[in-house]
Amino acid sequence: MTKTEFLQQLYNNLSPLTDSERKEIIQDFEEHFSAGLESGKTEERICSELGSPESCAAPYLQGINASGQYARAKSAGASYTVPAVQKVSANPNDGRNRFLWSVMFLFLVICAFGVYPTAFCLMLSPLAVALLALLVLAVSWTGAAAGFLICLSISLFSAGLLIFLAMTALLKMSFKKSGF
Amino acid sequence: MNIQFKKGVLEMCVLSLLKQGDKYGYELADTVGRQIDISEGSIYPLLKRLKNEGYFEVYLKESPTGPARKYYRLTAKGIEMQENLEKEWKEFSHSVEIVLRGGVK
Repeated sequence: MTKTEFLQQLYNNLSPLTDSERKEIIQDFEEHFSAGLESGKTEERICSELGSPESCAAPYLQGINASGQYARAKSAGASYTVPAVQKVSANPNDGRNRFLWSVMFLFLVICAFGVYPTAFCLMLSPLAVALLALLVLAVSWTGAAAGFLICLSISLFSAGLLIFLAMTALLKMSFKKSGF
Repeated sequence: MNIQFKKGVLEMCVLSLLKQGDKYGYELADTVGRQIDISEGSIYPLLKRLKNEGYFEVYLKESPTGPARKYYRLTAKGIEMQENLEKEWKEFSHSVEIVLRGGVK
């Protein structure tokens, strides 16, 4: 088959597409021919490496939907546009796992109403401790009491921060896994 | 070789080749075609689809000998896709290897 015959047949097979799309595709293949000829191949050889014009045209027609846009085909099996790599790695449990994760997410959202205020209160509680410290230390100043109050403030604040970060991380993770 | 194998892997091959640098259609078709027995014509619909899905950008560049050529450049989305596919492929082929050896790790 010659280049002209190939391109003519390809063009004919692309008839369901718009003129500009057909031209663009033909240009791609023309470019392929000119690059192949430059590298010393014959038209015959380039044609045989490309495959038949029908089989070259088929995927363009397959991937097209009502709006004229190319989309990943939804159907499994023989469809060209579904990459097998993705298909085989899809876990059959995915649907169930997603459901469980979304239940988890909703549960966490409800928990968050209680957990976040608690975390903020804990983070703010060193202020209350400081107030207490003023009273206690005004009466009797001891190093031990001061040390105890400082440790208490730090641990209360870190507990609050930890709860805040853990809750946020859990929410994020379950949101991601549930795939909303 | 099973035709479905080739078609699924083709996307990953093209993305991986482009990760190493921008290439034009013939380069991609020829490089893949040398290694894998596939009709090179199937590269072009794939390139068009991946472009429409935002994995590549396309630009024209003059060639020293002939008319301008259409070059493909991976977008950030394309790079991410390539990394995901490669990772999935490695995990998958590793698992298949294990099963082929009798299902024992």
